Amino acid sequence: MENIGVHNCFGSFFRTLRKEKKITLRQFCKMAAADPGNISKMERSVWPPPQDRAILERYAKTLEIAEGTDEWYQFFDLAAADCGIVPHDLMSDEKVVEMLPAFFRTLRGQKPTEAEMRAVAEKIRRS
Amino acid sequence: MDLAGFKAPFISREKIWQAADEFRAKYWPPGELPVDVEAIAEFELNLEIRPITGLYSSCNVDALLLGNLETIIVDTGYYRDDRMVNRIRFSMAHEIGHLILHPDIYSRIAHSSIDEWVSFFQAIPDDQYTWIEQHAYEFAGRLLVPRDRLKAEFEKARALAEASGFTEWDSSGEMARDYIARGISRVFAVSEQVVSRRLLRENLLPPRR
Repeated sequence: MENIGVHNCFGSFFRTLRKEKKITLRQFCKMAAADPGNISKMERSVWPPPQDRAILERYAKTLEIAEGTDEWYQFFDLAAADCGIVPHDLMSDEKVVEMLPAFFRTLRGQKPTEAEMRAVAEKIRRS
Repeated sequence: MDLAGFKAPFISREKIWQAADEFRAKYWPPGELPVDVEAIAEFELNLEIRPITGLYSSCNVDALLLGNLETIIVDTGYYRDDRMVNRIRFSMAHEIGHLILHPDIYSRIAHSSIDEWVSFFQAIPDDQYTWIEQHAYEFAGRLLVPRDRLKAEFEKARALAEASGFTEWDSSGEMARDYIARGISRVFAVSEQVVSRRLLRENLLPPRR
């Protein structure tokens, strides 16, 4: 497990805490009424954390962070520091190629069509 | 890799079952159901789950393991939909099956461009591709539906049915199997189709006298 103290960006701090508390992405999103796509992007620092204090408090409490603790202050400090994150550019071709899957689970296990494969590559690029 | 000569590796059903049983024993407390593959993926295998909008509608895919072998992407709509939880769980188990059963294939595949990747897959013979997918289906089914628990649940359902006067196991075919599977599937948090298939694959139906 990563050391909580060494994080200097909100996303990785958040993700480490969530995993340390054994809260799956699904469970977190259900408990905090959050969108899983947005939380995933926030954890990867692709998107900035929310700046609304009420939302951040809801997230912090879902992560079982006790108010007034060092973790609590670090959570809000890092969120404030990361508010300037600019959404990433699209992934380069080289990076997409590294991520291309070896197998697809399609209906009835048939091979994907060429169009479906190109659509997958584009989805990866935009993720 | 020689595309014309691409052959799916032969992995026997027994080997796949053994791999699934060993995997479950390693990562999940014995006897606890349902097997939470999302927790295993995130906390034990350190895989990232990345929801992507429109994955199913655009690509006909509800989940897949990326080539970095660190990320499973899932359709956001399915991931959010409580009615699709079991399907997503099965898909993740399926992708983990590839990770466990096919490391040699991953290590042999390398592409320099998206076009090359598309050409590569389109050149794989359909039967070989389907065979590889069948490995992962078998792994996922066995992982989520352990045989001993399936047998125990089936025996309970069978006793209830027979106490009500039902004995036509041999002649009732799919109807009895689907009826039994519907009740049992809730225990494992999988679809009734998965349980129905497991009952056949595990040779539990028709029951032995």
